[in-house]
Amino acid sequence: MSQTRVLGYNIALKLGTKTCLGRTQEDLTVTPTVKESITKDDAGQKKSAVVGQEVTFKVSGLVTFDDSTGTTTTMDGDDLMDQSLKTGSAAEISAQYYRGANGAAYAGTVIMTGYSESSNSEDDATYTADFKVTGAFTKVTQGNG
Amino acid sequence: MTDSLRDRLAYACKDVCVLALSEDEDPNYPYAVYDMTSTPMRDKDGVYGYSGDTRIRVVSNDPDEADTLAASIQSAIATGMHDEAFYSRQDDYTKECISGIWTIEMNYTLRQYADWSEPVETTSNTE
Repeated sequence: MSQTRVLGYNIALKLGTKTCLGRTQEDLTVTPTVKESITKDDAGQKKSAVVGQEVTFKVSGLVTFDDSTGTTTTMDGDDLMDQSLKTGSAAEISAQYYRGANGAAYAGTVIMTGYSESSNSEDDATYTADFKVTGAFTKVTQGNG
Repeated sequence: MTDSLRDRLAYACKDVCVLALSEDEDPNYPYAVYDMTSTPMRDKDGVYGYSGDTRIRVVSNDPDEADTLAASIQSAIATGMHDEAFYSRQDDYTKECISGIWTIEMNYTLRQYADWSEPVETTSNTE
């Protein structure tokens, strides 16, 4: 049985209906929430139980703007800035994480927990956006694996 | 996208001198030659541009002539390679003289962000 490598550009985070424009890197982190307990019944052996996960994303890319307005497939610099300034339920956005043609996709609701732009006098302007999944992050399409 | 950095550099300097690759050094002073190493710039959607590390050498047996030609090339690149599609940045400038031959070396970072081809000059047949 052969194994298929996944090239990095085939992994993408889609926010709402759009992927980020000019993205150079996407990082996913899943951190289990672990509850530890020890009672006399444990006979001195500490027990750990996973009670949930914290899922976060970091997206890095080039700050770019569409030549035409109203693109439906990609988030440009204005879309990301607008998203970073939303509050309450408006700040929640559906997210899908694709992992190549053969991998599964996962979905959840995310909020932006950080957004920064960096622009010096000599290089292309870049941005970094941090997202955190609120609630469940569930498999929505089955991969081949 | 096609790498057009070399063509655009030669086009920007066409009214100043024939800026040739180092292999085509001209035995007649003054002359200017360049070397360039270009690399594609990529994001996850593919190649969005090219970056070229460029070394330009101006050679003459007359120091004033070398200065004049180097200044003209600097001006041509500053005006001819700085728009939405191209970016230029001069990184350094050195001048030395060996055995009466003056060499000015200028290193540039050049970038290309969009396709470009040399405009076709139209000739009129009204005469």
